[in-house]
Amino acid sequence: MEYAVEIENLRKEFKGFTLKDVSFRIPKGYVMGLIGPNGAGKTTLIKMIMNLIRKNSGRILVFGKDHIQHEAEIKSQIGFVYDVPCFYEDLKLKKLASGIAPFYPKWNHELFLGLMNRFELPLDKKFKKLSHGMKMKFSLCLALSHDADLILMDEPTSGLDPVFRQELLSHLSQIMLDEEKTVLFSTHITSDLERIADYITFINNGEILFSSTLDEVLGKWGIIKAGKDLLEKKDIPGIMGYQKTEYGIEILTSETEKAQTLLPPDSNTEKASLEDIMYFMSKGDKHA
Amino acid sequence: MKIIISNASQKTIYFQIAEQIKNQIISGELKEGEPLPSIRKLAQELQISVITTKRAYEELEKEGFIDTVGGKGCFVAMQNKELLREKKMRMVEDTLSQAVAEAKLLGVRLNELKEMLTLLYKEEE
Amino acid sequence: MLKHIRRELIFNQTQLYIFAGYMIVFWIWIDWKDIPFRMSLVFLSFVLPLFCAVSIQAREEKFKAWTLNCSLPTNRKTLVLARLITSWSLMFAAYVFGLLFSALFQENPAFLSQFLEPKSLLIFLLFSSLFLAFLFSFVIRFGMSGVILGLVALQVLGVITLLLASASNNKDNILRSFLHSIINGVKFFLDHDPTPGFLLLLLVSAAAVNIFTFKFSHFLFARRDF
Repeated sequence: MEYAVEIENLRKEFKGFTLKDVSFRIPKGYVMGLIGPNGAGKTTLIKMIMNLIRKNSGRILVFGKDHIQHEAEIKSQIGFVYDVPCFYEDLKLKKLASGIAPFYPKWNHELFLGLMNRFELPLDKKFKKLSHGMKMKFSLCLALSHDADLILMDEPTSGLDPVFRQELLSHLSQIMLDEEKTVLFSTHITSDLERIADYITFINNGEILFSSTLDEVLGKWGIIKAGKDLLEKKDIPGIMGYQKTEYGIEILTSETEKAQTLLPPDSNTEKASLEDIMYFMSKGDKHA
Repeated sequence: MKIIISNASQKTIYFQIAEQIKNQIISGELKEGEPLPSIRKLAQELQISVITTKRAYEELEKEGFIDTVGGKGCFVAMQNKELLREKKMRMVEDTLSQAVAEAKLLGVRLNELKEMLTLLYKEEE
Repeated sequence: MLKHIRRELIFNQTQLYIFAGYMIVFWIWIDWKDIPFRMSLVFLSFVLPLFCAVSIQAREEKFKAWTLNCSLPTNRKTLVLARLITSWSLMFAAYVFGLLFSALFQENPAFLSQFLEPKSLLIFLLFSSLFLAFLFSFVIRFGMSGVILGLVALQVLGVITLLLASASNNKDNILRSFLHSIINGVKFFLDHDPTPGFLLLLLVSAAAVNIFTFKFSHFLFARRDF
């Protein structure tokens, strides 16, 4: 299997936050969703791949090459969208594009104009005059106009209306018909990922808590709702988090089938959505 | 090819897809040699992960329902007429055994059941 | 590299217009106040690096555009080099502009003839390289506050020198002799015979200073997180 991105034992220390020994891989040709609560380290991780934030230790390979040694070459194949789009605000969009385009050998100007049109972005408008949503759209436009083999997006859909979000996801689906393209998509709008992601990595407090296929997560993870005595009596396999309610307990498990065999008849199991998972793993307690 | 996925179902999504394609092949809706959409195209249309569609196709290939031709895609495999008939028979048998079980539970007798079956069969004609 | 320079010029277009206006005002002022050429040269050597190092950097900082610039298919080394080359291009353009302006409007004929001497260009090169080295490195590491830091650092250096010297002498004389020594130093360069050897020395020194500026700035910039 070829990997678009390989991260090994990545470490970064800030005051008050550390990214600890982060390791995961993104197979080429797939969409990986990066989920986690605010402040979990998603933005830091993406910026470290782009070498905006320098790592303390660890290794990052993109398309099999070291991301610093082959920085320029790799970046010519990366389309990036950051959570806060930073451009020279007093410039018109067409000026910004004309400064950026020459850096990408596969820049497709017709595609760019087409996207600008589709996203309803006027070329002659100054960046500062755009709403937040439009600024994100412009960022997206640039990222999608040079046939990038890797698309890195940090919260690309936040601040976008639902109609456009659907459009973006459709566009991404279209891109993913090409098995050479890979996407890393960090978000906390988990419903978007359920539609398009192939892999999910969950990060919290600078640590990767799990990384697997969406298939497995939605297939094998579940929420068990039972009486309070459940935890004390049984050893439920694959507990990822739980929450005590007034009338009972809710447990998130990654081994629903196995867990079901041990359950008492008055318990109830439901499929876990990504949102549930995010909630239980960030807020709920893990151990009794 | 028609595929409808239910998120509420207990069956996993790849299973649902595989099952529906299987049934369509058995029933003849999907003919031998007919091309299937690529795993990526199917994933796009159903708005699910390509890994899921891949798994579904792998299952189908394992069970001999489809063939993958390198570089060209997936096609409905040539079905052994006997085997196909057997598979169809088995499907009917499964449904009938369910009916029999229900009947026994409710206390319906064999001759009542036979009558019901004859009526239903003739109704179709 | 060309696409980098083009990028810098496009992204900082408005600054260039301001810069052009600034230059026009500067040369009009030089002419109006009848400032001798040698003085103008010294002024130019301080004003140009200040503007070039600072304004482009200030814009980048204001808009946090380094996120954009550092994400483009390039590396930090090239970005620093591009910024340095763009700064020099602007300074040379301003120099040539001054030359043309003087040719057209300057009433004092000696002014223009001094301007046209190769020695003048090389002195400008050396002095501005020295000042640029200081400012460019500080600004690329600390951002806009780097300008203030840089100027403060210069002042601190001056004060330290003064303090050290005052350990043995009368304070009044020290201040004067310190200023005198700086002025004498500058005069030495301005008055020295433009022998080929001297000119070569100026050129080589300026080149060396710029190489240092580039390497040191890259070192500092490479360590920043955005």
